[in-house]
Amino acid sequence: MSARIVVIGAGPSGLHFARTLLERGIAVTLVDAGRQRGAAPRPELTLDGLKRELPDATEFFLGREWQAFVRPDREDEYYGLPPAKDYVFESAPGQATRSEGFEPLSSFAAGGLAEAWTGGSYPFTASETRAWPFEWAELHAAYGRVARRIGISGASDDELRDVFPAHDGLLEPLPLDSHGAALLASYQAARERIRARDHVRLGYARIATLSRALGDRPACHACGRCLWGCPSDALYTPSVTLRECARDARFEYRSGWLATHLRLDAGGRATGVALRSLDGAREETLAASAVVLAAGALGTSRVVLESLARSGERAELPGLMDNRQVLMPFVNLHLVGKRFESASYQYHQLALAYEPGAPRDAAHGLFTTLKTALVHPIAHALPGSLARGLGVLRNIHAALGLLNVNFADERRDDCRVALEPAGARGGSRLVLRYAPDRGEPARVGAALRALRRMLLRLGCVAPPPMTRWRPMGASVHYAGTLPMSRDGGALSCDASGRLRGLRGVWIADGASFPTLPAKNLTFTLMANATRIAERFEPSA
Amino acid sequence: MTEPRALFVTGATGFVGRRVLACAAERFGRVIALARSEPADLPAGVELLHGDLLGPAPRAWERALAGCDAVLHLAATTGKAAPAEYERGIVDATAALAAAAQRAGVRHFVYVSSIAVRFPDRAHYPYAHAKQRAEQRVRESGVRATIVRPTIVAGPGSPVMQGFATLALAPVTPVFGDGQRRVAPIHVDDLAALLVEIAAGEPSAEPIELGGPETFTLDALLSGLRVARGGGPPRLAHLPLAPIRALLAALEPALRPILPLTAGQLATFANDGVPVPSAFRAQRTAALRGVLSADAVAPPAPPRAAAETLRAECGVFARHLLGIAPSPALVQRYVRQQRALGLDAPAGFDALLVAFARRGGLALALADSYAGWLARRSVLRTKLVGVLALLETAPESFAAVDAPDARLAWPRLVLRGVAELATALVAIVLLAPLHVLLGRR
Repeated sequence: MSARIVVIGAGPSGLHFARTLLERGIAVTLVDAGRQRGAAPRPELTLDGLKRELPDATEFFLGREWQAFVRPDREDEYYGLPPAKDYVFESAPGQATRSEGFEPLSSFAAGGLAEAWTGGSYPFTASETRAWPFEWAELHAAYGRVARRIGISGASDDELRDVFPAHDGLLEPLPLDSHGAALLASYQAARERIRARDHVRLGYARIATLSRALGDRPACHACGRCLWGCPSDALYTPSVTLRECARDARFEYRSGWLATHLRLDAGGRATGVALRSLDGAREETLAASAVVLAAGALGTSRVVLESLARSGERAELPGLMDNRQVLMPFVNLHLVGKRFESASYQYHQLALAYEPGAPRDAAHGLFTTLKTALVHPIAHALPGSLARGLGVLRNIHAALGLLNVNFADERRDDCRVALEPAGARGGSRLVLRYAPDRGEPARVGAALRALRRMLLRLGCVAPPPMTRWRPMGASVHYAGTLPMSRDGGALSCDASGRLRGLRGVWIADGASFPTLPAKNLTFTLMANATRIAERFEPSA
Repeated sequence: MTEPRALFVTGATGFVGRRVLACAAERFGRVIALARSEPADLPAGVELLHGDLLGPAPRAWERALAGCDAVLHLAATTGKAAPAEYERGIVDATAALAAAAQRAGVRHFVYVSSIAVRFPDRAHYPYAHAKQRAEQRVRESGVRATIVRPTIVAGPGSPVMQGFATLALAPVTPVFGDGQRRVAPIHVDDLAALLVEIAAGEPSAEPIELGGPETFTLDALLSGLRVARGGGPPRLAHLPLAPIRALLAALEPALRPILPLTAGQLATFANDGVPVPSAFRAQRTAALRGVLSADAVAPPAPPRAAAETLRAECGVFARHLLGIAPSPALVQRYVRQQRALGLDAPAGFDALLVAFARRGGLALALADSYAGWLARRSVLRTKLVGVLALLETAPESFAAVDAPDARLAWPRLVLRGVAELATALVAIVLLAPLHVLLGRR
């Protein structure tokens, strides 16, 4: 039997799992679809420099097919997805999905969906992981190990220190831009009230963007191109770790392949992985002594369900979770008529915690000061004529901000992942059903009212009609379908990530999260995969 | 019977002319089409001749007539024109063509007139008067001729039926008069085939009137059209015909371009438009198409704007949004963008709003404001946003898209709000009725 350890999926989970094994001196094979990012044009230019000097800046910003043009006659988000990041969301054949109450995104990019993330790196607290079947100290140590690898900027001693616990490897915060500084100053002036009446605390964001050089990655030099693709890798994406893994001779990277299912022997032991080439033309089996699934909660669920279906077992996986996200644009009245700085860090500089009492009601917010997103989607979201909307927008552009609010989720029986037959030739498709709990409208509504009040105390107006509840699935924090537990049944994991019900299969991604706090989960994906890899014993 | 040789067709790019070209080859070895503009799609084998019936001599079309067996004269001034334009485009042009055909020895001259020439009540209807005089000129020319008088021409893209559909699809359908006058619309494909057949045959001393297989009262036609276009159960409102015709006739000299319909067009509501029976028609009625089938009532595909029009509107819109003239490169991108996103062929109220906005100045300010309040998904708003998207990514304008006013930002914000409310109010009073009338498709 082959002694090969096969990791499926080159997202944050799979890559940090692989990296940790390599650091332990263990060889690993990583299988991935592996779509590659194109080179960033003219990396030395700032955002304004791109607009001034590219031969066709319109094509760079709006896309060859006008895909980033946000039409007023369609339902769209406030921003067009940068064409340079389209490859992250490009679909793949044979990955059909049907969903109800959920709008799933998936990625076949090397690095996964986090290639298009905004770098928010928020450790879960001990109380947020109380249901997880191991000591928080294990996770805490892994947070430090990941942070030393990827570099995380942020404060460890501000008001959010108990919400975002300190860990190793923290770098000093990035310098705030003028809007960030103004918000923080307003907060400090009104802090007592905001804390007491709105249950909100505000502080520095934690971001995987370098405030000083790390390895071969330079510190962020505030070119303003974050949204359009960081040209220097100062903003960490998992492909950085892929590059590091590739330097190790014990690392084998098989890109261009989709893992469709596991080959199981009569005793339910995985002996290999069935692969299909990304163009659908070739199929092969990769022998394995251990298979580590890290294809993302949905991708991993698909592989597990497909493997079971092929041995005649129809299963459904309850407990699909995702963070509800609400986007709340606001105007900072102190900054009306000011000029805006395009050459500054564009993603979250400040974060907030809303904690009205019960942990279930908590929310976590990220401030973006919304400068280098395209103007036209915002202009046409304003009431009245476009010419006057633009006239207003020119004067409030520097004053605009966006509060992105995340809400916690919990595993529920009626949120499920299943597989159904599709197509003529024995194909299948993933079926997702999601229903928010009944308490959500009241809970989210109360939080939004408190946050709007808090913004007003900061001198910011958030017009209620502009607030947008994003559909479930939009935050791409999928979790919970194969949860870790101390003593669960089949299709749950133990603390080491080993999947019960099958043998030789580990789950290293969000599918194994038993709870989903109101925080970006990506940092915890990396930390938990690292923690599992630190304890990984394939022969056990 | 000898095989006819060549057919000469005028009005070849028109609604009927295009269909004639499509079927003329069945009976004629050669088809020569006279047109003032380049047709979008010319059937194989048709010879296109550019020219104007009243163009300066020597006229190329006169020479082309020499070898022709028959002439099918469809060209006419239609729509909202002044009486003098009808006189020129119908009477003078027909006289010139008939005389030339006579000189060229054409065997058969078919003049396509209109049922309206024998309407008893032709008040304020210069088109009908012109057609009648043109018939007279044909008779006087000495050419061997047949006069054909079609009724309303229906079928996909019919301008007249589209006009009726606009009325039919309004929340309440306005019917001018009692709605009991009768019409027998003919399908354009049937009319085209019959015209070619007539041209191939011998001249007829009596005018031939051509209508469709069914006769409707106007109430029935409008109700049927509403149902066929998915407009739901009919709701008719009968309006007094005489005062409306008088009012339109009084307004026409000054306001003709912006009036939704003319007094002359209302003659249909005052007269029966049913053809007199003839042996020719009696033999063919059974094979004619219905005019209220889903296919036959399809709205016309809106025309795609010319590149020149798009370039012009880009300049107007850019100046409106930002007060700057766009670079040639940006204008080129705009044309590509409009084509790629299918924004170059608006229909219904969208088309009206865009046409209004293209005038620039106050008209554009009103149209933009209207779109911002009551038509946020209109083609106009999407076009304006399209221009903004280009301006914000172009080297010469991106900084201006972000520049705040140099000073007094707050008072200017308030001023913008007040100005917006004022324009919105005027725009809504002016445009909302048209939106209601044209909005449903």
